[in-house]
Amino acid sequence: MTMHTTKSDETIVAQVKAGDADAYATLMERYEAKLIRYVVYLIHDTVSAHDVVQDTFIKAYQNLQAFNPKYKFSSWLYRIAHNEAMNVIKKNRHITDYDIETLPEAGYDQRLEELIDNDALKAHVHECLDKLDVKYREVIQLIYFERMKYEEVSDVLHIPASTVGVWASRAKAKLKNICEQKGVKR
Amino acid sequence: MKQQDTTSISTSVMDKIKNGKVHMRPRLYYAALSIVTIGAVILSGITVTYLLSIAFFWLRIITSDTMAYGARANFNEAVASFPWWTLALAALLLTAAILLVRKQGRIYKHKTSSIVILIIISSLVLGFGLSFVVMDPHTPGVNDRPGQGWREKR
Repeated sequence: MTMHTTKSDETIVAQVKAGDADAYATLMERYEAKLIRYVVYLIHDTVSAHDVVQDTFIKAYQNLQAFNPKYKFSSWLYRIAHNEAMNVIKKNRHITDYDIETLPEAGYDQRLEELIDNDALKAHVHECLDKLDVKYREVIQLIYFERMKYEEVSDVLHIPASTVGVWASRAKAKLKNICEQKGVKR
Repeated sequence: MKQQDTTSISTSVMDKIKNGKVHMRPRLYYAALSIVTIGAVILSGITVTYLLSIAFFWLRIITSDTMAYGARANFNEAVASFPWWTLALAALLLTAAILLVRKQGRIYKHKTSSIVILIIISSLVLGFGLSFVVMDPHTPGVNDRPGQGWREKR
């Protein structure tokens, strides 16, 4: 398995397509933790998030022949996770904030703090993010937590890159507002 | 705990793959889906364009300076023989085409408003053009059909 670790995702996908099913485990190892974090922030339920991630990996495997290696595998995988998470959100409108608070502090891009211009945000960023609409929260999460470029976010959310920019800008403004309302001061 | 959960997901998925409970769909499936998508797009395009060409032809008749008897006869003939079930087919094909293209293509890279404007403009242009070619009485051969003798040949 270690022999796959230096290979790109797309190379491993080609191996899996060619019949090396074991190589798929490497891809799962690379993305499990990231996807769990991503999905927990979307649906606020750790148990369901694990189910969503498992379904994501199964669907990704089933549809691997549809993946175009010209594009990034990670964006394609996140898109599947996004769809699965949205299905859960549609089914369960009543979600709690409990699970999101129990998550370990994930590293996020320092630009988020700079943009919000708030030192105290570091301790409260998840709390503030939690109050954002799902679509804005997801954009912030993908850009600043998953460190994706606008083009990649566009592939995950299936919206034009220009719209990603607009949503990110609105999300930052709203996030700043929420943090101020919650009493998070400089 | 987290590591354990994470490992259990990988193990569970790999078990399903190795036990044959999860299969990779063959390329043929996606090739067939692409053919259906392209077919739906082409058919819906043709149907919508033809419907628009009839609408434009009617508009040209009612805005004509003359009575346009020949054109009216052709229009009535077209409407009488028009298979109206194609309206339902067009709606169905359009829905299928949109869903399939959205699922498979990368059309989302462009703004929805731009795509809608492009589709509307191209349909209007094609429909307008087709209204001259298909049903216009001035089109060579249109008035030469048997049973059209009461009309003056030009």
